[in-house]
Amino acid sequence: MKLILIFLSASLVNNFVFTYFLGICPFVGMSKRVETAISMGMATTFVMTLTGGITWLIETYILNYFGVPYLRYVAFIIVIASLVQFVEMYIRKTSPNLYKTLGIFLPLITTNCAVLGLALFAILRDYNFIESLAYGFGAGVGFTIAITIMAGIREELRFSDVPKAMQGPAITLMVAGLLALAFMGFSGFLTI
Amino acid sequence: MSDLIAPIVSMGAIGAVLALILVIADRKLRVKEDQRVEKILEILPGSNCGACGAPGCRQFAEQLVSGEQGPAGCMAGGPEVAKKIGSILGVEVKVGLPQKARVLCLGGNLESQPRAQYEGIRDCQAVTLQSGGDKSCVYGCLGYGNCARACPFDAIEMTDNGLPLVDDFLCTGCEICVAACPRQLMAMKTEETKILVGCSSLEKGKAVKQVCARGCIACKLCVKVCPQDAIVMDGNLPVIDDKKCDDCGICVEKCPTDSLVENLINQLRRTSEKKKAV
Repeated sequence: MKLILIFLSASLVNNFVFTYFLGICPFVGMSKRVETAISMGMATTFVMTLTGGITWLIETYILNYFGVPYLRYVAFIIVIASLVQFVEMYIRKTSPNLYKTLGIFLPLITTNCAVLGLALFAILRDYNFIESLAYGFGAGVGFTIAITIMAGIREELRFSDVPKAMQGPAITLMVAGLLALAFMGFSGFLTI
Repeated sequence: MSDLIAPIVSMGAIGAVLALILVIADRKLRVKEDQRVEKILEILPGSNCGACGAPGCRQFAEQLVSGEQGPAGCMAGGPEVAKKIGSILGVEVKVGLPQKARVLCLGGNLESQPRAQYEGIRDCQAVTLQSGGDKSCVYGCLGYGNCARACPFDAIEMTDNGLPLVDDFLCTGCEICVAACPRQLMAMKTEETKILVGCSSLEKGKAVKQVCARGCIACKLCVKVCPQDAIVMDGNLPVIDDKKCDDCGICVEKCPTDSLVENLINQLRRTSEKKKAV
C-alpha cells in the first residue's frame, strides 16, 4: 500500500516538474512534438528508476559506512553520469531499435536536475530500497505525464493566433505556469 | 588528518570502480560502425530536414553507406555535398545547377484585395479549406506563411505585403517549401530560368484583372515581342522556353501588368532588421 502511495505522490501530487519545478530544461526543450516527448519521458523514467535504487545503495553501503554523508552530491552526480553512460552503451549494443528511440535522449538526462533531486529527496525521506525504486519510477512517470501534456498543448498552440509579443518562449512559459497551477489542485490529496 | 582519509578513500573507490566498469563496458560493448558514416555526417548540413526521405542526417549517412541512397539524395546539401560524399564512397557524381525556391505569385495584399475577413487558424492549409480562402484570387499566395515555417534553414520570410521572400544565400533547394504550399506556388528554379512568370492563375484575362493588379491577363504581348520566339501560351499563362530565351528582358519591360520578372539568382537578400541582427 505504501508503495502505491509513494508512486501516486511522486507522479501526481508532488509532480517533479509542476510542484518542485525540477527538470524544466528538458521539459521546455523537448516538448515540441508528442512523439519525442514520450520517448524522452520513457528514457527519463528508466534512468530515474535505476537512479532511485543505485543511489540508495551508495548512500547506505558507502557514504554511511565511511561516515561521509556530506559527499552525497558529488557521489550521486558521478554515479548517475556513469550509470547513464553505461546504460547507453548497453542499449546500443543489445537493442539498436530501442537505442534509436531512447539513445539520443540518454546523454541529455545525465544533467537533468530532476534525477539528482529524486535521489536527494529519497534519502531525505528515509525510504528503503524498494521504496526508493517506487519513488524513482513514480517521479519518472510524473515527468512523462508533464512533458506529454505540454507537447500536446504546444502542438495545438502552433495553430493558434498568439499575440506577437508573446510568441515563442513567452507563451511556452505561460502555458507551463498554467499547467503547474492545474497540478496544484492535487496538493493535499496524499501526505507521506 | 584522519578526517581526510575517509572521503578520499570512499570517493576514490567510487570513481575507480565506475571508471573500471566504463572501460570494460567500452571494450566489450563497442558497436562496430562504418568509419565512413561519421565522415559523411560531418559533411552533411546536419539540419535533419528530412528532404532525402530518411528521418535525419545520421540515418541518411547510414543509408548512403549501405547503398540504399545515392550521393545526390541530399537536397539541402546540393552539388557540393554530393561531390564530397561521392569522393568518400568512391562514386562518380553528376551534378546539376543549384536550385533555389521561387514564388510563382506576385499578388500581395496591395495588388490583390481580400474578399473576406479571416479570423481562424493562421495556417495556409486551414485558410484554403474555408471556401477557398480570404484572398480574392483563388490561385494566389494566401500569405499565412506555411512555407516560411516549414523552411528548415530559415531562408523564407513573409514580407509586409504578405508574400514569401526567399534568401538565396540561405536557401539550399531542399524542396520542403514546395510540399508545404497548399496552392503549389513554390517551385525550384536554377540559373537556366532567366524569366519567371509571376502568376499562376488559370483564369481568363478579365477575371484575373478583377482580382489582382499584377496577375497575367493573357494578352499575349510577351509572345509577340519575344525576338527569340521563346514564349508560347499554355492556356492563359505564358510558358518560356529556357533554351531559346536569351534574357533580353523585352517581355519583362512590355508586360502591361508586370507579371513577368527577371529570375535573379543569388541577388536577393532580405532586409529585415530582425534577421540582420542574428
